[in-house]
Amino acid sequence: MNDHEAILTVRSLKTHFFTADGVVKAVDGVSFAVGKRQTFALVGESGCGKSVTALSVMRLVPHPPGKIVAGEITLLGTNLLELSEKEMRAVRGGQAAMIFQEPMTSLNPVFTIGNQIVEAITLHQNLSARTAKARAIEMLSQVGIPDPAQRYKEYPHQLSGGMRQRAMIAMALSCDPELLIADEPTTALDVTIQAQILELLKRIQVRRGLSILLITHDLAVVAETADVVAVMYASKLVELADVERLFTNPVHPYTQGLFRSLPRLGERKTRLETIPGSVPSPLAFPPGCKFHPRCPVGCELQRCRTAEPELREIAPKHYAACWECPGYADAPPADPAAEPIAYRRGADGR
Amino acid sequence: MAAEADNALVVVRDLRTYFTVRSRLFKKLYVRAVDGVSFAIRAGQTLALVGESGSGKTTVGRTILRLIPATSGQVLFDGQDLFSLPPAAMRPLRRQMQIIFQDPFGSLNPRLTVEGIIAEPLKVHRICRTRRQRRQRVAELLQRVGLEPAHARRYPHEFSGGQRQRIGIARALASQPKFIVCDEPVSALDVSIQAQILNLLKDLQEEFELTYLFIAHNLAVVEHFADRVAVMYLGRIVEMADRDELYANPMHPYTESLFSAVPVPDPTRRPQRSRLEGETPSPINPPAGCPFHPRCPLARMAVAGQLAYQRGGQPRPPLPAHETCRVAIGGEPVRLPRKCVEQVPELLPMPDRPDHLHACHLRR
Repeated sequence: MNDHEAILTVRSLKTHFFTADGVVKAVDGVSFAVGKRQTFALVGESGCGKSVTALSVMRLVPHPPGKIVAGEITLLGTNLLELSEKEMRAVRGGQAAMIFQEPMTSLNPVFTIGNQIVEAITLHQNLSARTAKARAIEMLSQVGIPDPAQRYKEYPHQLSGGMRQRAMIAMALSCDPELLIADEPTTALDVTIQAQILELLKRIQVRRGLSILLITHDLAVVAETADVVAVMYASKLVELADVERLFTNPVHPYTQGLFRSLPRLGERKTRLETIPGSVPSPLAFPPGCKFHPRCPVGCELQRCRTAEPELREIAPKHYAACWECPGYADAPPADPAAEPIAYRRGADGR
Repeated sequence: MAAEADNALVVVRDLRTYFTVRSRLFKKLYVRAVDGVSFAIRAGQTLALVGESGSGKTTVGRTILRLIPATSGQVLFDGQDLFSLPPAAMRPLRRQMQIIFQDPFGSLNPRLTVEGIIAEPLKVHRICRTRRQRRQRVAELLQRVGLEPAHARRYPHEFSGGQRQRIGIARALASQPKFIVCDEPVSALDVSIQAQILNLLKDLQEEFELTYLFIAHNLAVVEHFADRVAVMYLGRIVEMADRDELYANPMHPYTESLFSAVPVPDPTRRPQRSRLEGETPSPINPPAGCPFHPRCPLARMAVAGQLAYQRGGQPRPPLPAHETCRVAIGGEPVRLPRKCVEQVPELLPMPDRPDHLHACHLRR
């Protein structure tokens, strides 16, 4: 398999919500490519549009009020936006599967765990009831659920949060997807359980050659799991690079601010540095660069206040959207969806 | 008994809070949410209570404020025993103790304006008697927490999460308290907002000489914020020490596991992981002996002769057979030290460091 091959390409995606208060441009021109067997992390704060991007890929944006108004989403060579709803159903859970933050609300409380996994399997594969059951139990054991035959018969409320998330992962993987979209998969879990789930995802990825689109707000989780990172702010990508480069050499003032405001183990400052202000409402984005009112560099600059910077390749395979960051002025406009950033950690996850 | 500081504002002694989950004719089933917790908080300082969900940390905070009735134990606030006070005598003390909640969405009454929310304690405690005084005071408080006086006429839904948390802080400050329980005050907030709120809480502490009980699960936040840290597991404190000492020298295996589970925001560093197996057992039916023994890596090492006397030192010999016993954990038979399975370890100070207490048989 070629490392430069993209499994998923999102190009100029725009997903808007038509509400009574006006048009909410939740995703407004986002482009990226996820490489095969790669973990691609989409990071941002609440309301930045990262979850809507993920839902758009699965075509699960609630309509109305939401609608994908422009763009192209290519999974394994197929433009998903041109598929019929019936064809799309075969993709969901087939080539692409999704897990969510709160497994309690995404599992059906009135069916057993086994029942729900078998449903997913028989929907996509022509298997007898008995084989499907055997496969479901095998999936449960693969995700590290002890006593899988017993758990198969239990209801979601009988499982702990960590076990529910494992069951969700088992269900998502039951039809051998190529791409797993994980929307804040560990946010609702305790740290010791989070560590277990992250390790499980990593192990499964290596064994199955899975590609993961990870949606998260947690930079530490990104540092531990991602190969490539895209930072999203106010409906757009502001920076995109491989994880090592992004963490050692962030150039966008927003990314830099996020890193500085992060309390870290082993670091004691009397005061944490902050990003002033708060995320602007998508109904009233500021003109120019959307970050300029909070930006230590651009808040007074005429260009930042009036013109919005697009994403440019400021260094090889390092994209940023900031007028003032080094290398931006000379860089031509870039298409980050053209080719995935080929970066992969070693087999041990580093 | 925990070492009690001389200038302690809050002293908690052997606090227990049980909830009845089911009662039959002769038998009651309890959740032992808090099961014998003792600590003291010095005036003007911050004690952080750290633990995972179900450890009882939130219940401790609420029991101290008498928002939840205690099953037994004692809480001294400024020398007065809170649980023996009649409600009428409790009221003036309530003014001095406030709470900030985790969820800035659920903890503000959606039908009151911001002014109504912040003025409520001013009315209840008869701090400002006239409307004009109250309005004036609300404006001051809003400014102090980084909002504008004009925000007073708005409703909570018009604010972002960080701004709502500021409103909650202003409400807590309104009655000029000495002591504030901060129950996961930044967990629901975005990173860039978290730092703003933490800085605000720190500034207020200095300005008004506040004493905090800071309940949290994020060890990096706690390291930044606390003077002293207590780690809870299944309703008990398993380790307590000053911040620098605890972070440099964690003694209890649960504390160590918590530290090593924290993801590191640096892709070039390879953390030494000692991953904790299994999950927290149910507090309805907690394990006998040391509550941590079913998951404890140290107990297994002690039996195998891999546990060192000191970190990085020579390993001790394996425990002799009569000091171990066989137990079933998750259906698998495991050999563990008899002490860990049978005796509840007490929270005791270390011989050479009286301020560092831990409850582990194997690290004595």
